Amino acid sequence: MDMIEVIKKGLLTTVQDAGRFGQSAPGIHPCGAMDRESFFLSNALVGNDDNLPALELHFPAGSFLFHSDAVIALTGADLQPRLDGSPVPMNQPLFIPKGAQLSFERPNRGARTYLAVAGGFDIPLWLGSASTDLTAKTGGWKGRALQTGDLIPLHRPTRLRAAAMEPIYSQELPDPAVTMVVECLSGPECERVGFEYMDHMLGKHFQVGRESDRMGLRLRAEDPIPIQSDSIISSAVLFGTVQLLPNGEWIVLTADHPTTGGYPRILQIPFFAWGKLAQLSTGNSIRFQRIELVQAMAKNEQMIRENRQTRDRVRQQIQSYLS
Amino acid sequence: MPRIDPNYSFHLLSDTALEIRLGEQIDPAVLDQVLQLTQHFKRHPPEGLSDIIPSYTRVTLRFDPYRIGPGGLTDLASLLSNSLPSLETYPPSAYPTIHLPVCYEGIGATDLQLLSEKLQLSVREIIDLHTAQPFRVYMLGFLPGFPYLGILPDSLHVPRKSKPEMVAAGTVAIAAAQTGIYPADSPGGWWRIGRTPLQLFQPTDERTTLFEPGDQVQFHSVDQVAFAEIQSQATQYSLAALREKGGWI
Repeated sequence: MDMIEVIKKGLLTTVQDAGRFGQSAPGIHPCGAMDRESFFLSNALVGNDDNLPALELHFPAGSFLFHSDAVIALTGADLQPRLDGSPVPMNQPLFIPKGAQLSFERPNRGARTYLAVAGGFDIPLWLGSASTDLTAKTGGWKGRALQTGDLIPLHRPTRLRAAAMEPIYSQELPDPAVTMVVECLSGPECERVGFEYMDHMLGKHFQVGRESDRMGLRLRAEDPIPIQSDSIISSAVLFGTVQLLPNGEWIVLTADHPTTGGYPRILQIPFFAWGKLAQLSTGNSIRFQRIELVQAMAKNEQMIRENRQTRDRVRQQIQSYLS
Repeated sequence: MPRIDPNYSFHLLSDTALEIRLGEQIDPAVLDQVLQLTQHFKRHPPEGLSDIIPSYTRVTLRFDPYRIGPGGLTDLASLLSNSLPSLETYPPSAYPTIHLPVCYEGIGATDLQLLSEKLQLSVREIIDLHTAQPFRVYMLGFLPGFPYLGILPDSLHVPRKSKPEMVAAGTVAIAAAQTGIYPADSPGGWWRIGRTPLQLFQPTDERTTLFEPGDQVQFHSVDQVAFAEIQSQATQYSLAALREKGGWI
């Protein structure tokens, strides 16, 4: 069987697709790739449909041994990938000969890399998705992060060849030296918390805290204004919902978020900016910029349309060099 | 957004979700309305709907941004708010009673003694109040299969702990007007009063979770010997079979 072996495990390597939807009523978390557009792109670059399972890597990302020839693509964070020690490019299809080893040097920019393989990883679906649910300990690869020694089976692709692609889109990656601007909408409990507090806080820079994970990013303001915050009657939360915790800290929920929460929802990050959140790591600095709902919707539509066109173009190029 | 029915209002929660507000308090009448609207959207899913999230006083509709048509959620929101049913369209269904054994001693009952002092009730009184009547499942959330049950009598109301602690799977806990059951090991800020031997979440099971919003749950006090017995016997039942037989009596 075609497969890749985890020679050395990474910090957190999980199998993900676009996520598990339609399962919120029983409280099942959506999960899925944190940076969905980069995930889709990784599949397009190897000629797959958008939603085949791929690996999501964090630094240190470990190393992989290919037990058969394969074509892969790496998108998202630039962790300086090496094939048998030599640098290989991001955002390009790469031919990997049997026996070659893939490793990662150091994080250049961004937090999460996607590794897709032509034909896709052979992962059973749970409730319609291959995403790993780390809370429920199920889905993906045995409901857990990949460990050293794991052999992940691949579907054998029909034909294998890789050729260089024209420049394609990639997710905006944070520069550690620069404060990243994250667009936001008002949350439903904004008023309850008070506009004065919100206006003050939105003028501040926030740092991404160490306790951040796939469930959410902890945000710490330089000198926060003290606030008395009660809990609310539990209601739905979304990817990008910013909650005000009782200790005054902010958390922005991401892919593994629970379906409901009892903390005030003070902001909502619009869909087009979710990929930015996904690429933030500990210590990165951000500030928020309010935008209008109609603006957000227009930007969503534009991003989806442009990225889809790019992926279609990539697939056409692949078709032309394979035929 | 225009208010369509005097009983509820419709709001854009974000660029990808709509929220229907049915009340501002935990109330069994509001729960019935939440369940009715949830039924409505299950039967008539709007274009691009990815999830229906019922909660205490809200029904939230989450949309797949890749499937929302041009015009975004604004167009859809006005379209939807003009076609929302009146709440009488879906009369409340009959909700099953599920009996749940709970061992109010040993592992799981970690906070019972402390709570007894805090509430100025004897341990016996706390157990009696917790088992005196069935509670309803208002929603599932927080963890897969975690039921939020209510409404607890006033004498059991206690604010949640200031710091979360590790809670074992099966633990029955209380906070404010609510009681809940942890389906898996997890940090939690509610007061631990007992433990059930039944599983609430089983990923390999066809229905994955034991409870559904609307269910009536009757707690029964069992000792540690009965707890162990039920635990070993219950594994042969699927979650659907457990529901079918009304839980464990």
